[in-house]
Amino acid sequence: MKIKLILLLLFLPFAIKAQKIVRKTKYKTVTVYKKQDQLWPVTVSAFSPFLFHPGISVQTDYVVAEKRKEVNRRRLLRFAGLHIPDRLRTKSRYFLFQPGMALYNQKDFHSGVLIHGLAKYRWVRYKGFSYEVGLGLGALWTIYQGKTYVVKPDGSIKERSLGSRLYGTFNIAASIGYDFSKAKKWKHNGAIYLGTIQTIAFPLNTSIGPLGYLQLGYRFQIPQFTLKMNKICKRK
Amino acid sequence: MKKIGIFIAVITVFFGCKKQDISRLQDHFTLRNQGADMPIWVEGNLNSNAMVIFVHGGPGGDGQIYNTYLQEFSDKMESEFAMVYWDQRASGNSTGNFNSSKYNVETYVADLEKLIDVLKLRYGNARSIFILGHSWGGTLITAYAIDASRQAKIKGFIEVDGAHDFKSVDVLVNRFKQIGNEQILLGNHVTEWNDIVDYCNQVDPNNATDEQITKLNGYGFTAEQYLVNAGFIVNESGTVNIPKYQFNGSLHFPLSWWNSTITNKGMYNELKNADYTAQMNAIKIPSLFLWGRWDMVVPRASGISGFVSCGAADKKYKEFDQSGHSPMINQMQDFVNELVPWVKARK
Repeated sequence: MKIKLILLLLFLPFAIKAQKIVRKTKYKTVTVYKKQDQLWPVTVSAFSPFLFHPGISVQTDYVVAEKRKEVNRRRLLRFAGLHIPDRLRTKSRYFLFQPGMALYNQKDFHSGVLIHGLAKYRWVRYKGFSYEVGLGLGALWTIYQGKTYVVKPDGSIKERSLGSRLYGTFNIAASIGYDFSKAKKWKHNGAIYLGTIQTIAFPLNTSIGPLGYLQLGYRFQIPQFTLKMNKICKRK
Repeated sequence: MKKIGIFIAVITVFFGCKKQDISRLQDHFTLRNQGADMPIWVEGNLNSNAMVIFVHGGPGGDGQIYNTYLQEFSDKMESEFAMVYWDQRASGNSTGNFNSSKYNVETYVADLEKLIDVLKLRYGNARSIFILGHSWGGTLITAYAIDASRQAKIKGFIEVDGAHDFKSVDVLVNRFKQIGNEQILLGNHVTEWNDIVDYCNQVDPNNATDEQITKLNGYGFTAEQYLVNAGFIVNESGTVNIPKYQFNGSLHFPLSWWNSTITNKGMYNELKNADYTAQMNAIKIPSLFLWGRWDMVVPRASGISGFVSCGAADKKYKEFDQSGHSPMINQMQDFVNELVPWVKARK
């Protein structure tokens, strides 16, 4: 059974590509994933604690509200009586929820896992430049590199391989970026951005403590899949 | 399944194990004591058998300033000994979770003692351990060394411009007045020195307010800059690797900056009344006092009084005549030339 589960996990990527896995075993057909019409925005970033350390962050956007404004850039010329074609430009504002997870390694300090949810406001200008600010909460799990020597209340010292601490975090995020869907060259449905997450970890030392992170990432859209498990029952 | 497990274990062991060259050791571990998680870096020549613990200043400074920041200095020291860079409780990169009632000298001394215990546990009991305290680190190592049982764990006591008499405002005020008047006569930074001397004339050393003590401390660093400009203090620190220290080293700058601010404030009330000079006669182990002649933060009079009070038969006072508060920066080569043979002779 375990081997079957491992094989199933190994073949999941193929399952996504093929949209459907049809297994003809002694069981009835099982549909694992079903492709939806909507696209799913995913951001993958290089993520670094202050300033240059290796790390990766994955986050997604859930758009809560969107406001688009279409402006004719040649309205003044039209007003002046010139009969030229309209040139419509769109600027958008999004209020979105952005859950994400980051893994990083700061050499000779700690490795960390930051899980966060950010309420963000994003402006995308006519020409594609975008700005984001956000606030949110999260959790930071820091794992110390090397041994941790723990002094017990009786004064004895115990050696531990993976010492760690878990903190709550209050996060403030800001970024600038460029949305390629509005570009003249390399037009496609993606965006690049550079941003920072300033985290206030608590309880750290006697109260709180700031930790700063940088992100350089690319946001792209992938087809959305939903899990749809049919009832598994033996074939008669 | 079993085969996969064995494969992962073999790969982990293969890539996880690397042989450490103990003549160029690069080791890192964490000490957890009374809620604080303190990072420690041990770098250098462990073949020498001597380990020098750098006890940084502040309170709230960081150990990396003597390592990645002063690269040339640390390289010279590490070629001779295993240097131990320790971020004290709520300083530098230290994290953890503890009550603010732990902001006291006693807890910091307990942390230092546990660090020495861990070093002996990790590298063997036979290692010769020396403690070197700079500025506030001098207060801390003095508070540590005046206890006989703790003293027995170390081979030597090295105080570098250390504030073992934090409360001696009179020493500082007198030094400002003396140097200030000399500099005014020489025509160096006359307006600035006049401001400092005028301010010192208003301070009653026996009843100095917190604001005055803080301001005098700030003036100390400013005054040293005037002395650098006038050529009385030199700067021979060689490679000061700011990018490595601030941006690419192990220091997490926002955290260390915050720690510095909070810890300095947290320790202030106890330290403003601290004076261990009278108890220094309890120090019997070999002791070395290294001081900058132009130190305007912890003046040379403090170093001399510490040296005189120290109860060690084997003790030495050395003054660097072109240095301020940090002779390892100002006269780096002279500092190394003084420190290395002294430790070597006693390890």
